Amino acid sequence: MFSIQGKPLLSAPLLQVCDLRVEFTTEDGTIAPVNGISFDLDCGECVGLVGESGCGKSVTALSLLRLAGARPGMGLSGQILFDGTDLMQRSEREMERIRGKQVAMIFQEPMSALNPLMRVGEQLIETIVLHDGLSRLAARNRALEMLARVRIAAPERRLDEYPYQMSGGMLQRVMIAIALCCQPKLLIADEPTTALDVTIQAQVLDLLRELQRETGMALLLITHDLGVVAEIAERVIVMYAGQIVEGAPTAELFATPRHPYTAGLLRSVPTLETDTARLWAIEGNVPSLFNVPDGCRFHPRCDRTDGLCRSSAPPLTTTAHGRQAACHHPMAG
Amino acid sequence: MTTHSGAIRAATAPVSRRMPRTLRRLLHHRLFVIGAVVFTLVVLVAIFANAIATHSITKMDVHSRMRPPSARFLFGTDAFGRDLFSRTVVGSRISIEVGVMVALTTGALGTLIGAASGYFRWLDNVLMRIVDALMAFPALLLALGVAAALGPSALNAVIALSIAYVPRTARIVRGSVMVVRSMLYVDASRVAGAGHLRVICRHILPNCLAPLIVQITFIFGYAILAEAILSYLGLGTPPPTPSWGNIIADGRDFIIDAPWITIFPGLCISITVLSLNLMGDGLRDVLDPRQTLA
Repeated sequence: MFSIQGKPLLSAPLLQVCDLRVEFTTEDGTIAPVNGISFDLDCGECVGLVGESGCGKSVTALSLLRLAGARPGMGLSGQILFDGTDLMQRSEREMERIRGKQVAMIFQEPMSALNPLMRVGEQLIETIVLHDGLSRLAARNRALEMLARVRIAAPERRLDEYPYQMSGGMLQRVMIAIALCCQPKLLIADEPTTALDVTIQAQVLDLLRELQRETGMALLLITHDLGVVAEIAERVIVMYAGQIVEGAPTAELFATPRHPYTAGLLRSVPTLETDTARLWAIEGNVPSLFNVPDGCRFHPRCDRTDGLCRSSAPPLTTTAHGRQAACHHPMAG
Repeated sequence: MTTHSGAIRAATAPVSRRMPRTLRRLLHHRLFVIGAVVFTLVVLVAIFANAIATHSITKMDVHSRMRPPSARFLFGTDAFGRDLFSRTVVGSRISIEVGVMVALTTGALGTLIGAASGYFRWLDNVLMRIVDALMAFPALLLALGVAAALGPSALNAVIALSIAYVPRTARIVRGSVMVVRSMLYVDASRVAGAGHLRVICRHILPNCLAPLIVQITFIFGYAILAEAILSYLGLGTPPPTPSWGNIIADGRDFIIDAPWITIFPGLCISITVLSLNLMGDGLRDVLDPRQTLA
């Protein structure tokens, strides 16, 4: 119902998120870093989820695994249909079997995402033994195979090293190996290249794309780097202040953004062709989640604002060619 | 960016890599080495006490009451003519035993309570209010009260001292668990499907070990001191079994005429506790550099 039909759907999507909402109750009141978002993800598809820092991207990722909003004082509601079942209805035990096995995740800071006291191989083997119940020897062989697949040279030696002995790029490869060792159907990559330098970024992205092609898994790529999205995502979802403001196939979104926020984001990327003295920026700041503007959340920063924008929040509407935008006055296509 | 993350990685360098370096740094820490050597000697004396003792520890001899230290009675004799050297040597056993047992129980219970409290936020309030209540009493006063209620025996002293010191250890473990819990690798292992118990045992506790080791070393020392105090007050090891505390208590009435009865066990307590504190300071300097002053 909320799907973006970039291509005809033959079967139900792999992941169908419906009105997902995460609330944190703090001493200063309740905030909703993720406020009623809905999106789909097909098998083997790569979708980019973009937005500024603090717009709810990472919380969305964790909540898909039911790891955000699961503590007291937090609320998680909505529907997460994954591979035919509603993850919201699963018990915590069942979720533990899904995490790492069906849905895996990699993080922004590979340097701190591995336990500094455990050998790299041990952390790989632990996950394999946990989910696939292999013997330690078989798990070790699988771990070696995985390290080789993520192009780590001399995997036999690396397996017995500690995280501090490796570079950031190599650690991110190890994280990818851990994430993929149980052949997940969906990989969530939360800013996988942000902490890496540019050449390593390209290598890691190439690797992700290649592995995705080989395994046919779906990839949800969370990033604030529009370049990364342009490079590997087939479809882009733009978030602002906890809500989805636009969704479109990548090429179309870059060519003709419909939401003024997306347009602003694209304009703020400097180009090589023009000589800009000053970088363009969207006026104002991301609103505090304690004090969200009425109506459209973007209206105080938007140059198309009118009375309607101030009073009512625009719904996310789907137009022809599978494009979505939440704006009263979308930009011409 | 690179130098920044490099600094972070250096600061959180794993103990395993530091292991050889930790050992090397400890061996270069002069005070730690002095403490370790002295403490090892005390432990050896306690283990081989029966071989080292020159006289029976219970045999009284009216003819040699309150003799000053001499070649025959190295530390002199007490009011019953018992050899103080032998009694002090054998008394070290009680001190070391109580110290070991208090350190172990405190470490185990403190880790359990601290880990549960630091990891599960819903348990935190309940457990920490109980801990707060227990910590409202000075440790020694609490131990005195418990020991008085349970009656004098070495085991009851262990129980009383553990009750007094567990809250302090739990607090320290809780603090480090809360820090480590927010580390990305803990989230990462949850995301990879690890359950709470596995996360705590495999990822959190090993990373909390350094402050715990330091704390346990200090508790060992406090426990020896406190056991002596309890015994001195008649709430610890009951006579005729010698313990440093009850030997001092025996010498209380003769402190002018026979000060050696009080001085030698007193010196033993001071030296042992000092050696443990020196070790604790050294361990803290090496394992937990953030807490070092100056």
